[in-house]
This record gives sequence, C-alpha cells and structure tokens, in this order.
Amino acid sequence: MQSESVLLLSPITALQFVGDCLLSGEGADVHVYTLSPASDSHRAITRNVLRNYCIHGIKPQPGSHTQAHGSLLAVFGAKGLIVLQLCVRDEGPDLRETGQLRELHDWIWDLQWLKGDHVSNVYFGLALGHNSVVLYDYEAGNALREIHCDEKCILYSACFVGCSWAELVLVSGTVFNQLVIWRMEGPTDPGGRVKTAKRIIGHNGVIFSISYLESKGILASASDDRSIRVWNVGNLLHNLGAETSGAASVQCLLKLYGHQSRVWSVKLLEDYIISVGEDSACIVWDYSGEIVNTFKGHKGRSVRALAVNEDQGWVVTGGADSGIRLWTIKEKESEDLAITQLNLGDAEKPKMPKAVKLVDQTRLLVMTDAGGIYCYHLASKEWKLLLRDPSYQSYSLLEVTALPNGSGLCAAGNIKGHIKIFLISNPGDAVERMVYRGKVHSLDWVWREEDRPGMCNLFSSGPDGALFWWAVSWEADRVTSVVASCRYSLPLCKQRWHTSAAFLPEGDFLVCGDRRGSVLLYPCAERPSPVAAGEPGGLDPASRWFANEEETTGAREPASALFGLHGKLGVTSVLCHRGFVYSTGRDGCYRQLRLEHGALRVQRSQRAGGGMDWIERLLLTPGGELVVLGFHATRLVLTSAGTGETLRSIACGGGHRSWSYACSARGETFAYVKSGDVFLCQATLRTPTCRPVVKESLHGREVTCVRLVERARVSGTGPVSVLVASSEDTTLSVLAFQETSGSLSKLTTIGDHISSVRTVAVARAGRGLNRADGEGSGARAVLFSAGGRAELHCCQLLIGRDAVRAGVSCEVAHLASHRLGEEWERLKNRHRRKKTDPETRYMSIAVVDDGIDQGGPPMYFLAAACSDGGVRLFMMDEGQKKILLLAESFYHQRCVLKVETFKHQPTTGQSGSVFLCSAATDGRIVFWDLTHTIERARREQSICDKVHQPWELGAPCFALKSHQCGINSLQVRAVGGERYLVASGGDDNALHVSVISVGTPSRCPEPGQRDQASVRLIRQLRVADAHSAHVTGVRILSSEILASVSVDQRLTHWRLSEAGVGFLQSKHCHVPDATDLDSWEAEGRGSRYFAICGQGLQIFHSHHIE
Amino acid sequence: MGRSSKDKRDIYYRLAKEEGWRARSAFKLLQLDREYNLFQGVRRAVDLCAAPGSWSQVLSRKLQGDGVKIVAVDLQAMAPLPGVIQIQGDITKVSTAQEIVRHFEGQAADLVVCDGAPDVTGLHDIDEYIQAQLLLAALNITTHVLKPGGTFVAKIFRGQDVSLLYSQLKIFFSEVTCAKPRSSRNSSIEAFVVCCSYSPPDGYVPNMSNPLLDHCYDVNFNQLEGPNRVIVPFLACGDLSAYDSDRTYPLQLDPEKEYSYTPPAQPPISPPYQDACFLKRNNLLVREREQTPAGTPASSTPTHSLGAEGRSAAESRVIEGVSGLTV
Repeated sequence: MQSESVLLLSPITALQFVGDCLLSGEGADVHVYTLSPASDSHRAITRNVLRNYCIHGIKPQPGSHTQAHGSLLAVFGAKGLIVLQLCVRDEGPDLRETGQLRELHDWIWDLQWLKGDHVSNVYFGLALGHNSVVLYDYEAGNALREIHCDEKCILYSACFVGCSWAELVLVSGTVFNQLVIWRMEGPTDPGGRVKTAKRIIGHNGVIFSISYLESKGILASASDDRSIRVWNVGNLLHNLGAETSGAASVQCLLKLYGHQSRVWSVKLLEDYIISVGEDSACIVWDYSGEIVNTFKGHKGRSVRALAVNEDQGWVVTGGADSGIRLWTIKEKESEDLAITQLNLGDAEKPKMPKAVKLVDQTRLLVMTDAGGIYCYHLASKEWKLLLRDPSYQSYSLLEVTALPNGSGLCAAGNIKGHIKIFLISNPGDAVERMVYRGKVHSLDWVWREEDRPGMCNLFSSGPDGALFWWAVSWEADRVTSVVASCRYSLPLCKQRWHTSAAFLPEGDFLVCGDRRGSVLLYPCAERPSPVAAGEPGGLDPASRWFANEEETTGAREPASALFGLHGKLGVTSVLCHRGFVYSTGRDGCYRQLRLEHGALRVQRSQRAGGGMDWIERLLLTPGGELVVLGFHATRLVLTSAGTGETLRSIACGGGHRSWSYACSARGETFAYVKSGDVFLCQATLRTPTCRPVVKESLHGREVTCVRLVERARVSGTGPVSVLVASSEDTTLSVLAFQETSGSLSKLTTIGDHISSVRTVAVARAGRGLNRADGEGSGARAVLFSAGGRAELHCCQLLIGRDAVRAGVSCEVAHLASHRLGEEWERLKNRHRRKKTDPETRYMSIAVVDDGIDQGGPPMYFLAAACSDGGVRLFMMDEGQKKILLLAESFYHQRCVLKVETFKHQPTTGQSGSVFLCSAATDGRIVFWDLTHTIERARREQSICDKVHQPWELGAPCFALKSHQCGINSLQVRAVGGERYLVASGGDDNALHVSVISVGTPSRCPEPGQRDQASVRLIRQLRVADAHSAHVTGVRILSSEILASVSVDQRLTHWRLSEAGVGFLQSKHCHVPDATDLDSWEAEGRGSRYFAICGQGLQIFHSHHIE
Repeated sequence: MGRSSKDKRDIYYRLAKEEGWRARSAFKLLQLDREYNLFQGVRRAVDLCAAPGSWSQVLSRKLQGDGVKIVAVDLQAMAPLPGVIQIQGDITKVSTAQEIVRHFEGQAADLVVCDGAPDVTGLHDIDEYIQAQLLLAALNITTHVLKPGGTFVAKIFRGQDVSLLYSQLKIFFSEVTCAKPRSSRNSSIEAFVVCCSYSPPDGYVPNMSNPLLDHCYDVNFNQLEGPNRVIVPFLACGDLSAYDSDRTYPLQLDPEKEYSYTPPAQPPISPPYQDACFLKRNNLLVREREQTPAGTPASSTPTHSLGAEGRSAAESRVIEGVSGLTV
C-alpha cells in the first residue's frame, strides 16, 4: 500500500522573491509562482522538500543568480535544512534538490550563506533555538563549530548580519522581551560563551521578528506587545566590536502602534517599514511613523509571511488562510482617488443643496432647497441652472437617467403631487402633471430591453400605495409623450411606497421593492401602445401627458409578494442578473431570488463583508463579478461579493444624506451632500499590472469538518470530487478537487451562520441525486450544517457542468433554518417554560437514512450531538421548508460529541430498523432505536403545522464504554449478516473497534410495549496507543481496513483481523490540529482519497489498499 | 453576549471564580491529585512558572501540617499567597535552583509541578517546540531540586513530536504517564505528564550550563511514520460525576440559588498588550490618513479634512426623500 499527498492548503509560513519568481513555504512544500501578468498559471511548481518540517525561511545565495545555473536557495524550517536550485527557463521555472535534507539538534531561527575558503563548499551560519550559532558544512552535513551566547535562553526570532564567519553578528529576540546582539568572534566569558555586545530593552512582549537595514544602521523589531520599534544601532558590522556592552547607547527611534493585535513580521526598506500581524493587516509605515497604506484582504486572523520586491514596489503577504496576496506600495497623494469639495454657496454657485444625482461620469445634477435644478460639468467645473420652480422647494425628489444620445432624462416630484419630466439638453420644455393629491414619495427610471429606442419607463409612488408606470418617449430634444401603462397597488402598510423596480427579462414580470421591506412581483401590462393619438406638436406641457382613466382606476395587485423580506427599514434595490433577481436592503442583507411557478422564492440570503449594516445596491463589474455598495456607520463601502474584501471606503458621513454613485469602465464617481456642501470622489480604475490574488484563500479560521458531496466525471478534465468544508470563520465552502491535476478551486461560499460552523452532513438519499451518472444532468445534494449558538441550516446544492470554472459549478439554494432559542421565543406561555440555552453548540450531526421514499417532497431526519448534553432529532420537511425539533434526550448528562446513524435491514424480509449512536465526553457510545419515532413522525402529517413539544427519545437500547474520555470520531458500517463495525477514536489516543450484532425485534411484542431491536456486543478490540494525541478522525474502509487521523499529524491505516487491530502504515500530514477525516473511493481497485482538515486541508491518495 | 457568556460556555472558569481560584487550571491539579495521590507525604513542593498562582493556591490548601514548604517560581511578578514562598527568577539559572534548595534548608523537594505554557502563536510547530523547551527547562531545574523517588508533573502539548519528549522524560523517571484531567477541554492539545519515582541515570550530574534538548527522530528507523514510537500510558483523571468542561450549563446551576456574576479572582498583572490596549481604547493607535478633499482650483479655498468627526449643525439635517426611504 502506498499513500501520497496530492494537495495541501496550509498557512503560508515563508515567502521570498527570487528574480521574477515568488517562492512560498506551505507546510513542507515549496511553491514557485511566476508573477508576470502574461502567464496564465500562477502556480508553476510544487515540491515537498522538508518532509515533516514546516518551512519557515527561504534564503537565496547572494549573488548566485546566473542565467545558466539559476539561483541556489536554502530552505529551512524547524530543525530541517535543504539547498535547492531554481532555474527559470522559457518553458517555466524548475526546482531541483542539490543536496540532502539535513537535520539539526535544535530549532533553526535564521540562516546565513557564508563565504567559505573554497568556492564550491556551502557553509551556513545557523541561529539555533537556545541562542547559539552553528557553522555548518552543508555538503558534509557537519556542524563545524557551535558558539553559545552568554545570554542563554529560548529565542523567538533571530537575524544575522554579515556574510562571513569573521564578521557574523546575530541579533536574537529572546523570551525575556530583549534584543541581544553578539558577534561570533567576540570576547568570551570564562565558560567559553560569547559576551553580549548590545542588549536592547524596551519591548513588553517577546520578539517575533527582527529586520536590519545596513544603509541606515537601524534595526526593527516586532513584538507580542503589538508594537514595532525601530532602534538606532549604527553599523553592526563595523561599530560593534569597538563598543563595550552598553544598553544606554541604543536609542529607540520609532515606537509604532498601529496593529490591532500582535505583530508577526517586520521588514525595513529604504523608504518604508512594512509589517504584518495577527489582525490580518499589512501596514506600510514611513519613517515619520505615519501609516502610508493598510492592506487588508486576508481572511481570519493572521498574516504570517511577508516578502518585498522593492524594484517593482510589490509587497506579498501570506496568511493563515492559506492565501497569498500581492499589493503595491503607493503614496496616498499619488493614489487614484481624488476628493473635491465644490464649495457651494460661493458666488454664482447654487446654494443649499438638497439632492445630488449623477447623470454619468461627467455631469452632476444638484437640486437646491429653493427649487432650482443645476447641472455641474465635472470636467469644465461649470455650473448651469437648468430650471427653477418654487413649487419644488423644501420638498422634492429628483431622478435622472443617462440617454444614449448623451442627454439625460430627468424626473422631479414635489409635495403637492406634481411630477415634472424634462431632458437636460432642453430643460425649458418640461412636461408636467399633477399625478397625485399629495406627496410624490418615490420616482424611479427603469430600462427595459424590448422597448423601442426613444422610450424609458418611470415608476412613481404617491399616497395610498398608488404606484404608476409611465412610458416616457422622447425625440431629439423634447419629451414627446408620457403615457400611463399601468397602475399597481402596493401592500397596505404605514410607509407605502416603492423604492426600486426592475423588469424580469422573461415572462413579462415586474419586480418591485418597497419601503416596508417587501419584494413584490407584478404582471406587466400589455405593451403600451405608441401614442399615435398624441399630437407631438402640442406646446402645452400638460397636453403631452396622457393618463388613461381606465388604466389608472383598476389597480393591479401583486402576483406574488415576499412581505417584509428585508425588514422594516426597507428594500433598497432590485436587480435581474443571469436568471436571478437580487434584492438589497437596509437589513444588511442581499438576497438571491428566483421566479418559480409564477412566484418569487428566496434562494439565498447573504451578508456583505466588513459588517456592512446597510446595503444600497449591487453593481456588476465588467468581469461579471458582483460588488456590494452600502454604508457602514459613516462610510460608503464597496465590497466584493465573492471575496468579501473592501474595495473602497469613503468617509462621507453616512447614507442618510443624498448621494449618488456612477461607474463605468473608465472609473467611478461618488457624489454626496455633507455640511451643506457637495463633495465629489473620483477614482480612475487601475489597470492591474499583475494579479493581486496570487493564491486563493481557504478559510480564515480552523476547518472543522470536511465531507464529500459528489464525485463527478467531467469530460476533458477527468474526475472532480466536490467537497464541502465548514469552518470556525462561520462559513462553509464548496470545493472542487480535480483529481488528475490535484488542484482545488472554490465553487462557492455559504455564509448563513452567525457563529462557528462545527459540522456538516450531506443527505445522499435525496430524490434527483443521481450519483451513478455524473455525466448527464446536474446532481443534487441536501447539505445540513450546524455549530455554535444552536444554529442549524439546510441548503440544496445543485452540481452542474461548467466549462469555464473547474469543470463543475455549484448553485446553492437555502431550504430551511432552525435555532433552539427561536422555538422558545415563539411560545405564548414562554415564561412558564425553561429556555433552551442558546450557548448550546452542535458538536456533530448525521442524516438518518431510513430508506423510505414515499413520493412527494422528501422528509429528512437529522440527529445532532449537543454540548448541553442533549441528543436531538430534527425533521426537515422540504415541502414546507421547515426544520422541526422532533425528539430529544438528555440521557448522557455530558457534552455529546459525536452522532452516527445506520439502518438495519434484516434479511428475512421484515421491516428494517433505524439506529442512532451517540458518543459523549465520558467515553461511552450509546445506541438508540429510532424506528418508532420516525414512523410516528411520518404518520402524523400535520406535525409541522402546530407548536410541537419535542418527544422523549426513550431509553437507549445499548451502551458501550469504549474510551476513557471524550470520543472525537465515530463511524459505523455494516459488515454483512446482522453485524456492524463500530470504530471510534478518543481523546485518550486510543482507537476502539467493536463488532455488534443487531437482533430483530420480537414479532409479538407485549401489549402496550414497544418492540425494540436488540444490540449485542460480539467483539471488542482496542489499540490503546494508536496515536500520541487525540484521534479526531476514523474511517472504516472495508471490513478489514481502517484509517485514523490524529492531532499528532499522522494518517494511519490499520488492519482488522482475528488477531486484533494491526498497524499497517502511517503518513505524516501537514495539517495541524486535525479535526476531521473523510475518505472516498477513486478510480482503480483499492484506490482511495483521504481528506484531512484542521488548520488547512490536505488530500492523500492511497493505492493498493487490499 | 455579555460578560456572563463565558460563564455559560466554560463551567470551570465560572467555578474557579466562584471558589476563589486564580485560574480554572486549579481544578486540573486537584483532579490529577485525586488520581495519583500526588500530595501524599509531600512536605516540600515547588511550583514552576507559577503565575498567576492557581497551582500554588492548590498546594497551599492541600499541603497542611508542620514543616510544609511551598516555593513558587516565576519570571513575572505574582500577587502574594499566604504560605507560599515566592521567587521571581529564571528557571534556567542555577542560582534559582540554589535559592529553592536554600528555602528547603538544603533538602530536596518531594514534588515539582509546572503548569507553564507560552503565549501560543498559532503556528503549531513553533508552539509545540517552545512548550517542549519550557518543559525541558523545568525538567532540568527539577533534576537539581527533586529527591530521588520524587514526582514531577508538567503540562505538555500533544503534538506531532510529543513522543520525543516522552523518551527524554523516561530517562529520568521510571513511571511516566500522560494524564488528562476532566477539567481540561476535550479538544485541547493540552495534557499533563505525571512522572513518578525520580531515578536519574547512574552518574548523572545535574548541569544547567547547557539546555536539555529533545531528541531527534532516528531517520533510519523511520520512527516518524513507523509504529515504533515511544508511547506512555494515557489516563483520564477526575470523577466522571464532576462537571464536564465541554458541556454548556445553564447559568442557574442550582434551582435554589440565583446566578450572580463573579469577577475573576486575580486579573493578569501587566500583560504584554497593556500599552497597546490603552492606546486602542483611547483611539491613539496610528491610523491611515484619510483622503482629504482638494480645494477647487477656481476658488482655491483651503480644504478641510473629511476625516474630522465633528459635525456641523447643517450636516445633521436629514434630507427628506433620499431614495424614498426616509420617513
């Protein structure tokens, strides 16, 4: 049997530029990326070089770079060290090992290439964990000398200065929060230890990183105390020897507090200081101590690795999220965002702006409190009064839309119910009509594809929820007609007006969002007839406005309504895109909706990144990506919907004031009213010289669970395994693993949870889930996820073909959600009932496969292990889209860690039984017969309709003590006959396997008694010391082979035989804190994949598993 | 989430506060003692890396009688405890060992405990390495002060190379077990080595001039991925009927007694982040300069900062009818 790692996503722990290549250390793997914009593939090559050691440093040999032989690199981490050769040829970079992996007796904090006596020899200075330095002959694998400093303690960082042994100086960052500087050839104490030359005291925490800049004679240190300090040490090579050990001579030049948390790394450049920290930020400082740039883009907590290419002005950062990002150092002054204050109130300028509207990138309309409408040309900076109407003073609405001919179509509404429509190019010729007997509440221009040129649609809301659709036509410089197309009625509520409207491309439907937060679907009227009757020559403004009495009286009701979908603060926009409707609202959510059987259905509900509490609009980038525009406190924020990253943030004072945003391929413009003045932000879109995302991130925090969803055969790319991973960062990701290339891409992220997600379960028995034939139509899976705050979510995944991305695509539709506290909150007599603690965590969930398909919408049963000591059984009714807490038991009285279910089908043709196993922190596995509970739930059809008091799960039918303490992994598998294998891994490092047999319930139960199936223990096997840490994943591969994974970072295979459980093979894995293991069959006999998650994700491929 | 949410999530944190322990780790030592009778016959005990002092608290409460001496050593200052002699010193220094022995009037200790752990960096291999060095430093000073047959208890991280540590400990102690008290969380990598019957190799001379190092894997034997790892027995300690550290309990544990919040017994003394937190609280951290508007060239009026938080009266006026959303 052979196992090999085929994929590793782990924290990025080292980064280094070598020429045009970027090298990264990811676990024991070195990756080489080429960063030119031309290259299609970023990741050129990957190679495991340090075996079980994690790479912490990559150092090229100074001056070794030649065209013919490339560069020599020393790669080191923990106690390991190796030299590699990197050659860049036309066909791409090539990485070769030039020597063996060498192992030291202590941790290597820093390495320096040293000039030796012979050119061919490779000598290193190695700074070791206890403040000693080794002169190392790499080829011979020998430590020639080891020098100790008189300051003997554990180091957290070290930094060499000097390139020959004679001049070599070490700056060490000690566990005692000090920087200790000593020279290898310095004076020694009687014990033979080198005396400390300089000691720098000041930090209040240990030192994580040190950087020295020879040209300035300065040293920087990054610390646990969250500061970076810059020290004036002078030239360490020349001045150090002359001085005596004096602490007073080192002056602290800068004390930089800007990170929100610990600082992991610092680098000194000629003009800047770059630092990265636990707050996932990369900060660029100047030497006056000011922050020039803050780069935030990594998920989760830490950015560990940092490399700089000063020629290009590039900074690359590597995160604990396993992502690599590229940033450009740029002074703010020269940046592409310009803010202009228009200084309204000056002579010949409008006064008291009330509303601003951008026509496009070049023109801005400003409506004043006095009823004047002005046009401002951004390029010429000229103001022009379009019109002034005193009846539009103090209250007025203004909406404008740009026309293809360069003009703009404008609508204004006032408090008396008048609406005025005009073209910017000819404001004198306005069409006006009193539409309402009261305030015009909202106006909205909406374009429709099938409309003839010279026509646009205006929607207006007035008192009593009267929504009018006006077809507005123009010719050349004048509005020729305004015709009422339809009248709609908005749902009854206090603030009864629409906020946004959009036409669905298919089916002649109109989607509206209203102030009450509802999303409404209206049938469109017949196409308004072109106004043949209208006399185009009429000069009277009112004569061109046609309001048909018939159409204005019969108001249409919505065909479908999602009342209050976005909460009481209202819907802000609706958008139709790629067959979906997207709505945004002031509840901080944007939702994906779908038209199904003439009704709108919520597909997904999402929040934007960066805690945006008010979403205004979704924008589409030319590349088809969605960008969320909204407000966060007093700032306008644009974030990418895909990555959640903040693209722009402007302190405009908040969205309550009038604002307007316009963007095009050339740039973006944002106008807003603040302090009685108008401000303009203009930004030109940068043409990227290289891709800012070098490597996509996985999760910001630990991955808690991984499961196979589907294995699809895709023509061209070969088999693709679709996996789902859950994380403590509150999200789930659906991943496509291409088996042939060993690459992984993220299909989508699901962010429904408010707390960490601990566990997922995939329903494999759903209808339409066509697993056998992946080539045909798409496959469907039902995904359950659960975690902190007693939250449970269920969604449907549709796996389809996608020629562009990864061969497969994944469409997510939310099905149902449940929270324990919610049920209590809905109860009428809740004061008399105990509230279920909302701090309860779901530790593990499992779908109950009862094998019954009764037709109709399927029902799913889900078991959950709960931290409050409960074992809970839920029912998900897909028809009603509801999750119900069906039954529970607090039998364990301890935190329940794992659940697992299995179905027993007797061979004798009797009806089967469904079992649940639950395992808790006391090391016991308990078996429950769920058959009756599930049958009862299926019988009582209306159970979902009323308030359901959870049933008692009853008494368990069997209990098994398998571990001393907590059970961290559990699997049950049928092995033929009536027998089942129960495998578990515990916190006690043990692996436990038992064989049980399930007895058929007696045929004639006693009257009034339920017949329970009996579970009997046949055999119990145990490997007490299977691992040297807790066993967090176990999988039964066959009746004879098992696999387990542990926090000791070993994936171990076991053979089950009459003699017991025997060790087969063990592989070191590079995922620290392993939390889960999944395994699935691959092509070929005995071929399997293993996915291990934890702080990252690793996939192994095993062959010849007998 | 209020301040009581941690009380809900972590029962031992809450109990520690209510019972006056300085940290929840006090329960770990109590549970280890219940299993191993660590304190039986102990008159001289050393607590290494003692701050904030919960294990010293346990020692002082549990070790009673004449002639009992408890010495607590830590680099950091620790609030005083009755009946505990404190040494603020470095455990890698011979002088510290000598001072301990001086307090014991030249006699060796019966028990040495060490609950020290570094501030974890989140990088597992570094954290495991540093913890291992801390344990080895504790072991090294222990060889100076512990009597033959004495007991050593220390925290370990069960990581990828923990078996190297076990092999080192087995050189000095005839019985080494890995113990996990029930008050230690199920999923945490923390465990404790309980090393009984101190019996250093023949001719071993305690020496602090060089640090004790952990072993390396023998590459030829492929211990890394093979079955021949050094294994020590595992034992879960503590009564099963005791509170479960992983379970969430309701705030009201006892129907008779109303829950009330208890503040921590001993807040940390000058943590590394103290200055940074002060600056953060007072909004004094350096922040990126806000983009300021450029004055229009036509008027060339001086610009004013957009980042200023002050608002004029005109600004606070809500403009009606924006997007039709305001009342």
